[in-house]
Amino acid sequence: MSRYLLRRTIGALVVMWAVATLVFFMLRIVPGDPVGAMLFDAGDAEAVEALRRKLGLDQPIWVQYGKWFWAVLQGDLGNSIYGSRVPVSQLVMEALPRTLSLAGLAFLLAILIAVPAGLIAATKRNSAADHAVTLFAFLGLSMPDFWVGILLIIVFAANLQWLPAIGYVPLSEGFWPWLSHLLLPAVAVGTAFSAIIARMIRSAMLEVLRTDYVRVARAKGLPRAVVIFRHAFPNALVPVVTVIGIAFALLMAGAVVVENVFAIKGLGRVLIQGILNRDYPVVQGAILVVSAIFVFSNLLVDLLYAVIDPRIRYA
Amino acid sequence: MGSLLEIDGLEVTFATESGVVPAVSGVSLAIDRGEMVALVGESGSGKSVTALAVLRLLPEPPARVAAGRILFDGIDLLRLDEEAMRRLRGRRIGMVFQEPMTSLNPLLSIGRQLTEAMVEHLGLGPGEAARRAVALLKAVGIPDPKGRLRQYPHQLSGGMRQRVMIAIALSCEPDLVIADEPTTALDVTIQAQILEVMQGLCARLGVALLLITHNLAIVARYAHRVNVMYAGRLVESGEAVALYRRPAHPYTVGLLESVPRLDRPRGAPLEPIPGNPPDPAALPAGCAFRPRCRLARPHCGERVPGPVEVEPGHRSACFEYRRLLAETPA
Repeated sequence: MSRYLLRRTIGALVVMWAVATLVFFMLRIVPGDPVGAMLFDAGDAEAVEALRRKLGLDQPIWVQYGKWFWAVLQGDLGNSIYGSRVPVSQLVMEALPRTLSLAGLAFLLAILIAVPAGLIAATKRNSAADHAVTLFAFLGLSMPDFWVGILLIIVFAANLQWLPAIGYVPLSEGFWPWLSHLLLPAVAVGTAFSAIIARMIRSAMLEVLRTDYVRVARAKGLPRAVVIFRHAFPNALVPVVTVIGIAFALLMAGAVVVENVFAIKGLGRVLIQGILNRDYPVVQGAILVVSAIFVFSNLLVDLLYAVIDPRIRYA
Repeated sequence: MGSLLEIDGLEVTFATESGVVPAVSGVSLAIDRGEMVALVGESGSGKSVTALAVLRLLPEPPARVAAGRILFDGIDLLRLDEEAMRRLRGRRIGMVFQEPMTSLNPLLSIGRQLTEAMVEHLGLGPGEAARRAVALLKAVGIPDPKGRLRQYPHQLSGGMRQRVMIAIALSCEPDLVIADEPTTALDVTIQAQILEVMQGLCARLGVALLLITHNLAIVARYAHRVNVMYAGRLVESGEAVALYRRPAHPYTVGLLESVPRLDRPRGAPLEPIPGNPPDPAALPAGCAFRPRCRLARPHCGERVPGPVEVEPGHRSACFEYRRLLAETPA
């Protein structure tokens, strides 16, 4: 078990390094650089050169990479190259709680809907409920999340005026204000995720319900609820949990887009602003943090996997 | 006193793409308390369907019990409501399935899977259930039973898993155990051990055993009575000894002759039954065995032969059984 843990952790760190490196070089391959973005087409070669030197962009790319990487190892993500040169870590730390709140709530809502929906669809196959779940999943997967967001704003914020349309209120200012601002974006982000998980649970359950050991459980005379929740559902979860880890990336990506629809100044805002400005340190730092979240959540999934399945626990 | 289990005129059909197909047609058999009865036939002959029908575990749909009656200790199982049926499963009728490798839940410990029926049906606490589980594992011949309780199925061999399945089937001290090809998936050397354990325990505990198998040779040792199925129908039934000595259906003869025997001269050719079992969706008219039968006469294709008592307690569903019996004088 501890070896499994160690192996997974090392793997996670390698992935993060690879992502960070990839982003570093990709940014520099993309046409345009911060100097161009700052000075437009001023054409003053001397000014350009001076700015490049100031930002360290005149150094060979390997030196830039080495310096940046060494700083990251020490926990220093650098400073924004604009204005008051705010530390990237400060920008990220301000934005992160918003994005995590959004993604977390979306995740929670999605699971709360997907698990019962998938279970009902599988255990009452071909019933009206099953068809309803299939339809919901089909719609959920077909609609882009930002569009769902806009629809939600039109219906629940503009017309019904039940919930605020935009903005973010930190949890410290009360649970309801926090929740009311996040509910619509969370639904927008979580819909597709929920649809995927519901479909996954349905098909995994249908498969598991056909297995010999479920028939044995029924032959033992166990109550239906025990057969489903003790014998079938945990087995159906094994493949679903794996997908949840991967789909969490989708959720983060969705949050980044939907933040803009709901004017939430989260990581997505920081990232997009950074990209538009060619603000290298901000983009690198933000993506590093996003990839860390992704890698960490997958690590968590791997551990969960081992908790559920003894064959992995004892491997 | 009536039989423990009495199946009377059971008909099971399956809805398929090519229409409704009969899987079991007019099967009747009885098992007394403490008796060992075998149900023999090739795969697809309807023996497993018959067993699952008793426990009402057939997937419905596509399966449907179209006719017949199943009496268990006087209870009409086909009319029982689902909750009463559930309380009977595992408690009074235990079942051992064919595939030990897939019959245990991979995520639950052996102890959990062995004790849960006892906890459910007998209301035992975890301590008492665990004590009985250890005794059961010991009884089915599993070394270090205490340690096994904490293990998971993937840590056990096929033979060990089937022993666990037998322990589960016997855990609530049922009146009847149905074993559906319990040794087919196992190594030959393990097969005899498993049958020995199962038969010994059932005899000791007074549990009736319905042994379903395609191997007529292993039946001889264990069963009091034998029922032979072909294409969803019973073709021959009788006491094991009588049926072996004077088989009265050409299919039974074929089954016996397709197994190598030590009481025949070495090198004597095996005589397999020619052809294949019929497709249940397209059964031949009359006797379903006719196309493969060396005794077939034109009238065999006119109607389905019903069971005839050829000697006391020995029935055959063959028009030509007299010619067969003439070959093996009593």
